Amino acid sequence: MLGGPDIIWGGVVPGLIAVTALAVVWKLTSRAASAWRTALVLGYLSGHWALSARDLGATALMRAGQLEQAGADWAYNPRNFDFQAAVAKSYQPAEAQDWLPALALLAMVPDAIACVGRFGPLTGWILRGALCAFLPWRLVYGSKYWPLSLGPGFDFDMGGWTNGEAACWIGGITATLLIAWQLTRLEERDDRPTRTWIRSAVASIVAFGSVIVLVASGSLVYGQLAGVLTAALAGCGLASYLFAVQRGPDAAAGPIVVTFGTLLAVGHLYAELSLTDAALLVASMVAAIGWLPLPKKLAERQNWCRTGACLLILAIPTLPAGRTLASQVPDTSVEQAPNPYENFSR
Amino acid sequence: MHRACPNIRRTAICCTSIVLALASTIGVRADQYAIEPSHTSIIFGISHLGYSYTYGRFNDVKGAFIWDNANPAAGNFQVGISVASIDSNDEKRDQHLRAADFFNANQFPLITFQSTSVRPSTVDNANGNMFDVTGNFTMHGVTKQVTLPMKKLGEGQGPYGKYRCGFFCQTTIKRSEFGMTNMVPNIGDEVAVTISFEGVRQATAGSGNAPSAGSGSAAKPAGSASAPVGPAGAPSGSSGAR
Repeated sequence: MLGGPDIIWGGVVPGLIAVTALAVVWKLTSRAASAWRTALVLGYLSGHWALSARDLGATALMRAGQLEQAGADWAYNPRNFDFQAAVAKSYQPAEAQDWLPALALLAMVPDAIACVGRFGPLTGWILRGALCAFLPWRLVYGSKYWPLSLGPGFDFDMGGWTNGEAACWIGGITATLLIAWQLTRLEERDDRPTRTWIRSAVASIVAFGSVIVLVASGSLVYGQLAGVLTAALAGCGLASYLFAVQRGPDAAAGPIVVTFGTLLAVGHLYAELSLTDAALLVASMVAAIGWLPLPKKLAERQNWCRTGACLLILAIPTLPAGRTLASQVPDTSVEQAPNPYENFSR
Repeated sequence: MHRACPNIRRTAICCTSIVLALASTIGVRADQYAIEPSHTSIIFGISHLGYSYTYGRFNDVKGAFIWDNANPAAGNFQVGISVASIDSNDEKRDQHLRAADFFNANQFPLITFQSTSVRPSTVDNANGNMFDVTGNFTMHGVTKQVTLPMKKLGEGQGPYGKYRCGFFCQTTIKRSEFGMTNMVPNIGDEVAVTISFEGVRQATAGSGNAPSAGSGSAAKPAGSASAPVGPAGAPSGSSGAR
């Protein structure tokens, strides 16, 4: 069900916006971290809202009986989209994925504040902790795991968590996000361009791997949003290379970890993504952009080691998921069996 | 004599109040029913690519209602449907329908309906058995007020002596109004819904009370609003839920 419009609005557009934003912010401020963070978040937001606006626009056209008039290629024309409603969903979120734009924006703040003033680092840590704890709580609140009081009689067995289970899950997701965030920040001082572009490329490959795994887990929507993140990462990496920006994706650690982590969390909670696959994807993303423990002997070959380790971890969930998806593609080369009812009406 | 007047008046008012209260209690005799899942069907139909309609059902439904033939306005319907029980005769598709692309069953596990008013229908109601049941319908985390055209099919003793009462409803809803916009228009926006349910009488309740859970298999809640399509139902051009 992925077509041309999905690739354009969920891939090309966020990629181009990320390239443009990074170039503009870098040229104007010469601040690599700000450029990366701004470009990645703007790229992601543009793709997220474009895909949402397209779907909302289609329903608005249908209700108005104008979908046919809009033509077969309506999904390529942004004039048919409802951007206002798409943005409105982000400040009136209903579904878990509606929180992603706000979370991506909020994730820019802690690392930006951490650089400011004497208490910046401490404030940054507090904000990181608050965001990482808020995220899983908000994603599960009201769901079957943590249902709202529905009143007597709605005694469906939904498999809700006990208080202990809820504490374990929310604490576990919070800790995982915080650790991943910190591990990516540990790599900040490694700013040689030869290494930053490789990290960008590998991070994009990991994000693309998550597209395959999420789609195979049963959610096209989460897969599309992971595709938007892939495009934004690739766009930032390309612009970073072209303009010799001396920082890699670690500069946007917050938005990457929070967006990627949220997609994997909802993929596990609300689709069929297994916990093992989610953990492996987190590990491969950390290996791609973050701290990689290497013996001194291999330090000079860090690029190869990073790429190898990352792809190795990534292959574990991605290859089976890719096989699953490939097996679902109908084989059109096989001649169709004759229709036994062909002459039924004669 | 002069002093006795106030006492007599007070006593008269008191007696009249008691009589009126008793009369109002006797006059409003509403029966409470628990919806019986095995005689309840919630079926939906939706356009696939504009080529055909795909039908499915929800298998796990619970609810209760209060009904008084003499005073339909005292009626009250509650239905809850487990989204995870969706069944379209294709497990792979059911998984997709439960996922975030459509119902997002883990995040929004229930579809619920709680009526707020019941009125005799003013159109096509020659037999007097059509009612407009207005209430709050919640699906996919969005609550909207809908009016369901409910037909009372019949009531009486069942084969094992329990008193039963049944209703039927056919309507349409637009899934996009409940935030389910994915894959519109390839998968249709309008969903035809058919609901047929039977309740087993639990107790007699006073008017104004919400149905309470009985000891039977069905608990209190409510009626759903979900969707389905009736026997011959298919999404039509007009929106059924008013």
